[in-house]
Amino acid sequence: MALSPDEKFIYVNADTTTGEYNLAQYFPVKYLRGLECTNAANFYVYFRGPKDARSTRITVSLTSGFIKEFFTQFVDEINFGEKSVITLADRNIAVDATTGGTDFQHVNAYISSAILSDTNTAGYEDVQVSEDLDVGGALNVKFGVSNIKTREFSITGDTDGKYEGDVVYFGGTTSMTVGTIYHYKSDGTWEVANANAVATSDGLLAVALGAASDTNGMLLRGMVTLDHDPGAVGELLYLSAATNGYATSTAPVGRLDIVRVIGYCLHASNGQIWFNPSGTYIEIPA
Amino acid sequence: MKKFLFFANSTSDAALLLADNLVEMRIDSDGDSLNMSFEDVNGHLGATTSIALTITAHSGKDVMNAISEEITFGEDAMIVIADEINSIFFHDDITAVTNAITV
Repeated sequence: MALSPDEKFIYVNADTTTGEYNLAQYFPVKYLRGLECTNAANFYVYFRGPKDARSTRITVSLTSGFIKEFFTQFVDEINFGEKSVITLADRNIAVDATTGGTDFQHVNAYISSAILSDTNTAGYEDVQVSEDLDVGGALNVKFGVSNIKTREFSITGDTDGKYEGDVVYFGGTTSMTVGTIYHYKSDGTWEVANANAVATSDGLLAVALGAASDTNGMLLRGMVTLDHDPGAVGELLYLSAATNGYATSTAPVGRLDIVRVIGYCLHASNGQIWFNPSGTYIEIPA
Repeated sequence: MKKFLFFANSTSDAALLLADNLVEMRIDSDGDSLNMSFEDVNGHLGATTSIALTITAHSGKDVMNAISEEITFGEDAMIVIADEINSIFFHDDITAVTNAITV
């Protein structure tokens, strides 16, 4: 019974040492994607890559100018040949440095020793998208650099704790109030911030996005909706010395109070702000 | 039978693509070019492999119909769409294939 094309394999072996098959490969014909000739003396064969992220490309040499003759024989062998394994190029049985075994008349059996494949890198591979990519879930960039030309932020909704920005998930703190500003303590937990003392207003500040820091996250910088209205649109905002965890458009003036800019107000009555705490502060003298 | 479509601008510029991977044939806005798009040979998401054919103006439907019938009913495994090496074209209204076929 004749074999169907999809039952066949294509064999290549770049190893030139007799009896060795280092990096030899079998490719199922069913994963063949196409062939391309960009030079009269060689051509590329493309197969689906193992991770389906990039095709595996094999470079094979042929007698210069015989591309159509090769393509014709290739198609015949795929469809009507009796071999289940078609040898495209096998340097292992080479009779000299550049020629060797093949089932094809015009292939001289030289293949590139470096076969481009998506197994060349560990774990992940490039995925190129030429149009918009809408991600419904999380987008995790595990390694490397993220180059984002434009990072758009919108004014958040009027629900406390709505946010867009940079979030951390540590501190092991629970029973937090959503939309309140917290201070990172020296013991590694979060406490409600207050500008009435250095101890509760210096260092790292964040807005609680839920009751649990490690689960809901703490916003370090970005758009956010506070659980209170700190001022009028466009006003500079300070950490409040009067109310725990609040922002205010009135700078603290009490002795030993801390004057620290934490952002700008974006709405007069819905609590939306741009949260971007200053790295510096002023302490009112005693 | 696994059918292939052959395109050649020269002996150093040719492609052999699977008919099963053809995803679209489209005529351009002035009717004198037929673009054949295939699933991307490089395997990139959101990309495509395209080959443009120059055709007689306003012959697009006839050419697309002839190609589709050959894919469906033809007996040849290798369908020569455009072979500028030997001046062979699948249809009289195909007159050229894009220089530098890049898949």
